[in-house]
Amino acid sequence: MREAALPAARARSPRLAGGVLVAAGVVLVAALALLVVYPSVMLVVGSLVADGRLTLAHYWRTFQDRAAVATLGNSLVVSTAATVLGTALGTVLAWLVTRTDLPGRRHWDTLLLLPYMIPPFIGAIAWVYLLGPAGYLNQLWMALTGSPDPLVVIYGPSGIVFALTLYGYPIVYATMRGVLQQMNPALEEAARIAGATPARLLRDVTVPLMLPGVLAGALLLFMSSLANFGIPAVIGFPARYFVLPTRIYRTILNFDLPNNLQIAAALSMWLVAIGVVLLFLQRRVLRSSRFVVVTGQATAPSRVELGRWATPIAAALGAFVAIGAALPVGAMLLTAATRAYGLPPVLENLTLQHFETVAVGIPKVPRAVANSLALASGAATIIVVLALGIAYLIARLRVRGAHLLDVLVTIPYAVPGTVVALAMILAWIRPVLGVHLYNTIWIILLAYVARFLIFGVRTLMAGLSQVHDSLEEAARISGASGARAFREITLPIIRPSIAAGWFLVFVPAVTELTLSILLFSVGNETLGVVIYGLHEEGKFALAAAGAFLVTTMLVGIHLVARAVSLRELVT
Amino acid sequence: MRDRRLGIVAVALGMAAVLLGGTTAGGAPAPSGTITLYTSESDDDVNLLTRDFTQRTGVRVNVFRAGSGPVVSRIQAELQAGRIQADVIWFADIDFFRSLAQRDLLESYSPPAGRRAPGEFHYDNNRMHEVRLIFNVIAFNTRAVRFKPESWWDLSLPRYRGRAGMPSPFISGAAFNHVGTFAAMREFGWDFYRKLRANDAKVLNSNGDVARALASGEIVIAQIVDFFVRNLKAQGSPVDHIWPSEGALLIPTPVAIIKGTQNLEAAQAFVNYLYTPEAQRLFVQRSYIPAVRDMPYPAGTPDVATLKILKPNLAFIEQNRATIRSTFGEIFGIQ
Repeated sequence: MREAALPAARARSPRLAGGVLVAAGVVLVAALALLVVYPSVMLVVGSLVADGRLTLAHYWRTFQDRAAVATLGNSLVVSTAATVLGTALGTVLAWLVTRTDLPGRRHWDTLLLLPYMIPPFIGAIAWVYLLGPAGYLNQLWMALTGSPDPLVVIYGPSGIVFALTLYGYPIVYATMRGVLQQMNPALEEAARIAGATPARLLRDVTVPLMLPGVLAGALLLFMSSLANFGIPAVIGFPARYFVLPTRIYRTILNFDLPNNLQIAAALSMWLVAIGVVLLFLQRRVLRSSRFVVVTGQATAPSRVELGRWATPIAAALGAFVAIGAALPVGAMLLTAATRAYGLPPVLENLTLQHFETVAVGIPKVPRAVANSLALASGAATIIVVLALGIAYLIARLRVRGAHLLDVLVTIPYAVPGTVVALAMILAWIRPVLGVHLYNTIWIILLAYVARFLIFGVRTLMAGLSQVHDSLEEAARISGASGARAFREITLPIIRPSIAAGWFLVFVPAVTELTLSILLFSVGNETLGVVIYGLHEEGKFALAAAGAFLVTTMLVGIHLVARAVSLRELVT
Repeated sequence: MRDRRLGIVAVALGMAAVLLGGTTAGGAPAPSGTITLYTSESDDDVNLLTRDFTQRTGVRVNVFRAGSGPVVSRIQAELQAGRIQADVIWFADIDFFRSLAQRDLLESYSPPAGRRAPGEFHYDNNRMHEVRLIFNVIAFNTRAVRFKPESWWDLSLPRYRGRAGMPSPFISGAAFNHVGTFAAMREFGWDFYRKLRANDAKVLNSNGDVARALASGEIVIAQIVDFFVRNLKAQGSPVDHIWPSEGALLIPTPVAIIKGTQNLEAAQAFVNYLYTPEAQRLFVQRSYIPAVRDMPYPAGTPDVATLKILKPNLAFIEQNRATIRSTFGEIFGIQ
């Protein structure tokens, strides 16, 4: 059912309620300019400059560099594969958890989100600990079967796709969860009453309704995979498989190459170009159909009964969670609990000392915990507020040029974190308007907001696009101001999308590495930096212990937040 | 009459008092305030040294510690924006240091305590200094390897096929120096690397990555920086190393002062401090070979006379950076 059962949304701008909204809009734009545009402009300009002169030479060079083109090809291959797999997984799983009577839904929900809560670099290493040539699983295999060869070695493009999918599907899952929670059950009810079979229902009603969410999630997952550095660095290098972000990093390190930073910026622009093209395509797809809209949510959606499918589905989920969550967490645990890395993880070599050392024996750690929690929650909150404004501007007010905002927001995410950090340094190293940001914690906050803003914008736009104007119109006709209508009508409905957006930002911000490692200063270390630092120095068990504790902390926060939050997804 | 003579004597005495009492041995005012250090030295080492330094001088040290990759990236960005914000830098990428020196960005300084170290450790007209020595050596996994290796060529022995490893010269400056130096030596040359490749040697990421692979048994023999192995071994990991018969390659890890630093006295005091017996003793405590002549090596190291050291061929490397990169890349199939 493509056409709305409700009157189509009109294309005119609703009346603005006085100066408040306008003022808010101005502040919003100013904030955005500061946060996103300034460093992004530096980046774009930088890619066009050589020795102080404007030139396209860097772009020429990047097109002619066969190795760079090859790495771009590799990037596209692994990202596409991971996106297809991850989107399918994330969507199906979200549907199972929100729209069926699957027993134990709350617990599945946490377990399915778990991979997202593993610090990304250590998450990649965890798979090497499991399926590297000397990994735990391979050693087990070789011991059990007497084979001299490992069962499967994770190194290489398939391993990269595997890891990207496993750590990336929660992005789609979380987005879809928000979208599915908001969907009006009345349409599905109507179809069912009209006699549609479950399959037909799915195809003609549920799937089209889900499309904005699916595309939003898929876009985020694709961009995330494209810009990912840690997984290809750990899993690709040993097999001599390189992607564009790792090549960009090498270019940055290549200090004797003239204009190397500018060339790195030019290479990064390729990633931006891909992101923009996808954004454009997404907009096309969504514009060509009218997506039916929520008309006030009073009842919880009715659930599909799984009946005899419940057990096999639960078993499949169990297997999936065992692979996606239990294995990497288990690997971290085992490594953390072994007295010294490389010793077999048998009882006599096990110890809890590393957990103790990380938790209380390293002064940087509690500081980093405090810093990261503050930065992540600050960034997530700021982003949700900003994204609300942007989504509103684009979806409701249909301000011309608001789409440009959409593009600008993509740049700091499409580009590798290292490049964003360098742009932030260049942008903020000198005090701007008397404000000193470099070497303070604020530059890290700014970087996080710029980097993750896209999560907020995409999830909120997906959520907002499902809410029909007519609801706010009705409120305004009754006398409410635009702001009030928004606050009391729309906001409660899109709360799941807001929660999804907040979560999608908070979690990676807590464990963020590539930005933080270039921008931190004394006392402003973040968790990602500290844990990675331990690993890089050869303290593998401590790093694994730290990663395990961080994952536990994030799961704990998730559980608490869920217990405390009002309208919850499953009961 | 008498008053005037008294006056002259008083002034003379006063001047003498000022000259003698108001200055330190170097003739400069006492160091104070804060300095910023960018380094890739291990966290424990840096904390130990800076804490000791602060206790002795009162100067506080703000440390930015990260791998040499992020440090090099950050310095490049700061440079591009106008000014390097560090006062002192200290990490194992001498080529990068020299490129800074060539652009006249490093301060020339001859630390008094540095006279206790051989002149060859004061590089580039005293613009950078070696304060303790680390080396590329051959390490092996003690659970997997029965006969201790002896020579660099052992890395390509048939029994280590597919189980030998080294860090990537595209990521690690020290590894790059190693490749460049060996490529230029007649007893090794590019054949050394071709043989490694033919024996399916693995090029991993950084030294830390090599250490991880070695300890787990993913590789059983490796070229790696000595202190990584020492630290792992001390914790109980099944690794050990030998000093190769042809020589261990010195990895220069220079310290330098940035020109235009706001706190030159304190920066100089820090560099000088690193050569003092107190600091050099701390290095020995951490099992490093000290740079100064009159300090005993840490237990377990071969002594001065028998330890064969290879020095990196910086001139060759500087002239041939691009060729080294492309030849190595061709041999190992890394673009």
